[in-house]
Amino acid sequence: MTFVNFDAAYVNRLMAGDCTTEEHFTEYFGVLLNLKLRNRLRSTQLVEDIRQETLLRVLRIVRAKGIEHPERLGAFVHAVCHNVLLEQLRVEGRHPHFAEDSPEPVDSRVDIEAPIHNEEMRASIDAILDALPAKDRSILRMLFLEEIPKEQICAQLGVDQDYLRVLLHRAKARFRAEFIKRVGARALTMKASM
Amino acid sequence: MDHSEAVRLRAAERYVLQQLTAVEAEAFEEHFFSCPECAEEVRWISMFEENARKAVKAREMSAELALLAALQSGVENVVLLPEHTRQVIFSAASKTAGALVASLLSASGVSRFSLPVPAEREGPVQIAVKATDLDPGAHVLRLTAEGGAAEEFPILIRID
Repeated sequence: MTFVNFDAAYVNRLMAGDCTTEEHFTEYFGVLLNLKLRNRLRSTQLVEDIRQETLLRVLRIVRAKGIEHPERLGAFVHAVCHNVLLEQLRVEGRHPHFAEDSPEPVDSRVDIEAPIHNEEMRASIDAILDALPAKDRSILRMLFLEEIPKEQICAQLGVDQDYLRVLLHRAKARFRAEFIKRVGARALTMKASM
Repeated sequence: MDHSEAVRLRAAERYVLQQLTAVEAEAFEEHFFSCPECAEEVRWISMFEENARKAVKAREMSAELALLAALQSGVENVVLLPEHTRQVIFSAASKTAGALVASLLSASGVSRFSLPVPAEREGPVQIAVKATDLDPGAHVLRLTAEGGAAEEFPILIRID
């Protein structure tokens, strides 16, 4: 996904209903909203509802009267999302922070039984997993497959939580390089959409 | 939170790993909505995490039934291979210390494989072979020391 300057021209295009700009706006902020909301909510349906409502509300406001500081469009989207989130949680009577021991919800977006459709993505990940040292591979397996709490993994393998962060950082860097090598930057827009 | 603080805190990775405090996470979210660099960083980490989760779950550990055949030197070792066996592990206790070369000879004297066995080992030499590569009949597992001395373990393979 390409980043563009959020400036008066961008906001003017949104006000004028320019399809390409709207598409970019929806995709760019849709991903960021997903990341923010998934970090706070377990219900994928609620995440989707709030995401859609936020995007719609921002577009309505922008179309109706623009925004005072176009360069702060990102902050504006974030603030609207925050409000929508609070409203929804009030309506739903839910609390955004869930208990540590609450069960993992079923993520309807990820069907683990289904084949991974994106072979390039899969190949990139496989190459990275294969190239990892045994200990790092074990950490990822425990983290992603067995879903063992991070603290327990660290205790079991005698590493600190910073090691997990460094491992994730390195794995992400390799994944990025490998994926770009295989697919090319052109496909990133599509693949990055979640 | 500004960009330099996000970098200093390594906020992107810690955000995805949920290692930030609630206050830090909120501040970082406010930041990455306006910072393309941090937004991109978080997106890549999340993409990796989501896809690695699927890939790891899709990888199944492979396993197959094996038969452990403990061999004695100088006597015929009859190995009965049940049909469902996929792997045979020959276990031969060598009297020779140091590096060896292990080879399996068919009845006609043809070497089926030859592989080095390092000097640093504990217990018997254990060699795994595919059951489907073994033919019924007489074989010899030979362990040859560096000086040329060899121990032989005669084997008679029978398919059950």
